[in-house]
Amino acid sequence: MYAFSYHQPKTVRQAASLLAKNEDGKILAGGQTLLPTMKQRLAAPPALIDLGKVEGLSGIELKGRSLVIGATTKHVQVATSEIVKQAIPGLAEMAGMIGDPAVRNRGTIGGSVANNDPAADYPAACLALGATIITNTRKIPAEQFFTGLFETALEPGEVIVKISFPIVSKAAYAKFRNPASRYAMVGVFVAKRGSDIRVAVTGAGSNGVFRATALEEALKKRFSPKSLEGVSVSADGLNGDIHASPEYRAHLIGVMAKRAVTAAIGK
Amino acid sequence: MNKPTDQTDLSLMKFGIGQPVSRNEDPILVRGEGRYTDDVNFDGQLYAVFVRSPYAHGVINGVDVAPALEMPGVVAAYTGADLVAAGYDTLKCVMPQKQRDGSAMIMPARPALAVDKVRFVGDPVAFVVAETAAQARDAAEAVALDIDPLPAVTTPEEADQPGAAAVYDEAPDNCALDYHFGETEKVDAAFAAAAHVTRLEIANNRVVVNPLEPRSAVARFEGGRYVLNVPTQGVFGFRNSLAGVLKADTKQVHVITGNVGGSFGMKASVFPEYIGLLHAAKALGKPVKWTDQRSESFVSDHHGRDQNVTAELALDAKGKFLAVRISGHSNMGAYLSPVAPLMSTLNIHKNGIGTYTTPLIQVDTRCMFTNTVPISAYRGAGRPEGNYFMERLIDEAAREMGIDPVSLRKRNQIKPSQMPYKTPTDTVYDSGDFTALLERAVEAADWKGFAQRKRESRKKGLLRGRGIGCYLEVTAPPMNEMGGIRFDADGGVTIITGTLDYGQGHWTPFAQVLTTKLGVPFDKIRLIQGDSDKLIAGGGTGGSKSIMASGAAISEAAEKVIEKGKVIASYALEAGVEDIEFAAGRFIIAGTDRGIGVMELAAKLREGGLRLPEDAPKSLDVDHVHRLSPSAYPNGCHIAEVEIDPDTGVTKVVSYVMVNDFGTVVNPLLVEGQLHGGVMQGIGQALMEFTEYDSDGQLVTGSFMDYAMPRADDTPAFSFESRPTPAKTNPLGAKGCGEAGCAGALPSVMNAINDALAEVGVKHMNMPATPRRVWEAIQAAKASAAA
Ligand SMILES: Cc1cc2nc3c(=O)[nH]c(=O)nc-3n(C[C@H](O)[C@H](O)[C@H](O)COP(=O)(O)OP(=O)(O)OC[C@H]3O[C@@H](n4cnc5c(N)ncnc54)[C@H](O)[C@@H]3O)c2cc1C
Repeated sequence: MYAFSYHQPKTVRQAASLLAKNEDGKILAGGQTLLPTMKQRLAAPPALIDLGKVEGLSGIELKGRSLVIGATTKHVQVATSEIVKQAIPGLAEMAGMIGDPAVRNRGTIGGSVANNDPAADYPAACLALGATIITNTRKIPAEQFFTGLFETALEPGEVIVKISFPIVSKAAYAKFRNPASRYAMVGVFVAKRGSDIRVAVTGAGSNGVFRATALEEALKKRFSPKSLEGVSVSADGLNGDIHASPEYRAHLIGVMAKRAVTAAIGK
Repeated sequence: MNKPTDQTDLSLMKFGIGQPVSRNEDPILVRGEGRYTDDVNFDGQLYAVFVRSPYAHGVINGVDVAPALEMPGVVAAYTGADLVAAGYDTLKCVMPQKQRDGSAMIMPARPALAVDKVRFVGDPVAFVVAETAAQARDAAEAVALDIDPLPAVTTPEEADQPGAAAVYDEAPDNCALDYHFGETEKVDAAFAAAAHVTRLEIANNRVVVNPLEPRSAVARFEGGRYVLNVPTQGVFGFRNSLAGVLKADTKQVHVITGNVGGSFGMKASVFPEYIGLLHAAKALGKPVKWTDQRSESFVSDHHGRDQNVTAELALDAKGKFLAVRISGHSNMGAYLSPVAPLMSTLNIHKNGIGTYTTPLIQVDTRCMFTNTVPISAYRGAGRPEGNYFMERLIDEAAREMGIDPVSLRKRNQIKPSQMPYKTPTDTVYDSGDFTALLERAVEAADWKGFAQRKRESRKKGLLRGRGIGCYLEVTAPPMNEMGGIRFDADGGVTIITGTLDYGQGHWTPFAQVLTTKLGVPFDKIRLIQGDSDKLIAGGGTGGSKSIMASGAAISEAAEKVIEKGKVIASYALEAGVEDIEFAAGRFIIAGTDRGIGVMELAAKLREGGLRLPEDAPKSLDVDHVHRLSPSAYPNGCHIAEVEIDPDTGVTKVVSYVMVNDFGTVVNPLLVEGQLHGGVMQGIGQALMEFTEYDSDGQLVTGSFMDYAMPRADDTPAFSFESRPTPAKTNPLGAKGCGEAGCAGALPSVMNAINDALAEVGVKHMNMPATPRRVWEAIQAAKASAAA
């Protein structure tokens, strides 16, 4: 780790102004991504702006037909929240599949979404559920938020404050873990709200999270795993690495989608 | 008259040989009170960080440490040239094997820091010493390397191609050793006459050892002596090797090992860093400390395994094994580790014979240099591999010939009536009832009920398979071992021996041996194992031999205590020495109830309460050396069942049954624990662990993001049984269990996977059976069936 200055703002406004003042400064949330990269000397932000003491950033509430989760809410809180389990059980289950207990006790939804790791789980949930990412300056639909590998629509100095998930009738996540890291090698989140059916895939796309439209079309006919039989996913644009070829990933998207639909129907 | 309840008997029921006593060190380690090398600190110590080659292969034009020396806190920086100037010897391979033609193997010198060339990514070229670890790390980044990269080779097959880049000038074809064992003509004739030949291309995937505790060392130079705190597998031999490299007298070198958090063979070696640290400590007159980082240990610790063979088994029409032939390549990496060629040569034929009467075995191995991390011993060191090759062949032969795999094994197993049995590799088995173990395992695994379980798996859309792994390991070759016993001033009793516990829990079983033999209270017994100044001999731990070597040394030392004690007791009891008997911790005058306990006698000696003549021993302390404890032959039968999801390629080990013969089991609890760990390491290699280099020689699987280790949820429920036949080769009758888990797991798990996959037309699945590879094998089988 290289030396850095450390700041503990009390409000989002202070955090934003600290970000503006410290060029190349970084927000610190759970630190589960940022700190390991700093320890390995892959990242060297000159300033860290810790959200830990910012009031009102953590919490889960229902607002009308939406589930609203504060940016510094930890994965474990989402996984175990009765409100989430009632409103969108598939989201609670997804949060419970992130990393290990230590990671879930530190890592935050805001950090995960801001980081947009191509193998992270939350981006798939946001995209499939049609979430809105609410920052200190604006509201960004998930569809426009995830722009590429570790890339988001966030402007410099922009802070995620909360994320709003419309409540859907059925949703579930099926995750095929990378055997080593246990991040998603292929993660498929399916959600059904009326006739709106979305299938979002993480871990597989060479440009990050994406919607599998062929699968969505098939499910529109009938929301059943049977509808997905024989529907093949193209390997074009999928990642290949030592753990999985694009073809294997394409195949797993189909398998995981079926499992997610089966789980969603069972809820 | 009823025999009065004897405290010693009661105590032996709790702490004697054969009791499942929990580990003495557990409370210490679990509370974080252990003392690992990184816990050792000295006033004024400095910190070292090493600069490693970023290239797999290259010519060193220059290493400029000047920019580092200007950084804050930096005290010194050293390069290969500095160590050459100091005149140290090179790091040595101590177990060379002969070439096919009888000539010596090629053993290029390895200086502690690379001088003219770098040969793998991670090869140390310089190091920086600073006042803090962070300063040293910053400064290490400032060292400027001028290296001209050369083409790299990473696999042994690639290295054996004409025109491949040569890792050494002295080995232009990259072949360190062209090893041959066996009577070729007879083997050829057996294959020619065979009714059936089974042939498999078997890979033994390279693994990264990844002990929980990274390597660490603190070097000092005090009173004209080199002193090194370092994790090892035995300080006595380590001190001698270190002295050799330092060109110092062994008396000038002191090695101290505290708690060690896993080693598996790896930490036994004298690594280059240690020479650098001792050099700096001497030059600077201050302690110098180094602790590896996890990401660094992927390229600084020796790796394990890495061998690819063609394995062939010749059988007659009835399934009698006529000959086995194993030929192929093994990877040495960029430098020869101390034991480099052993695992893929000698240990393959010694252990490949296993429990069978196969009269002929041939092994041909081309041991190749490549631009990769050096290879060294890894749990079993050729023992699991030898057994694995053979057991895969047997299952495949059974399938091809339509013979039941259990009967095929039974037909060929060595029978107890054939003991002692001389194998074609000149090993003499003393004992074992291999078929009885196989039969018991088959029963315990409910072999008969498999069809029903397979149907149930099929209903869930899963393939199910079962596999047998009958194994026999030849433990480490004979070495001397110390058995020291001290009656301490505070009333404790200290065992001193030169094997070394790196997680096994030696203290407890060694104390069980001593309490059984000498009747001293179990809770008074301490163990000294990690201080080279206290040892007069020590073979170290490795090759599953500690309980045989130290157990024998302690037993014999206890006899000597008794001999001395009888003389002293005769004065204490005022009786003739010939009338003194020893039983249950007491010296008594034969035929009377007059006697004195061994602890009481020791106390009397300490307090000076005994008047002894000149020629009588003045203490009960003993320094004993047990000579050349011979090998033993632990064996067993493991049966695994797996379920494979053909949709995803995911394999789960769903049942694991083991029946083992470890001879006399001193502590069944610890033995079972060793097996759990060994089996999980085997499952790791079988299902998930692999090491991949890219074509430039960069390690792709260089962190836990890409290198998979087995986790708790990969662990099946184990069923563990012991069916011991005591060994005749050592006084305890023990056979050694440390590596057996791997030897049983590789074959049983892979045979089970192959059994499951045979159903969908996959002919031979190699390790590691990762989801991707299993899925791809199924797709390939489908495609070829369709074609
Ligand atoms: C061992 C391990 C296993 C893991 N496994 C998984 C897994 O299976 N699935 C998965 O999805 N993730 C996994 N993770 C990642 C984990 O979920 C992280 O918690 C998450 O990716 C980042 O969240 P954080 O709160 O720790 O953010 P930090 O590490 O603190 O920050 C990450 C990035 O987001 C920025 N940031 C943080 N909060 C905000 C905000 N409110 N507004 C704007 N920018 C912000 C930071 O500046 C930084 O760039 C794993 C991590 C570890 C260490």
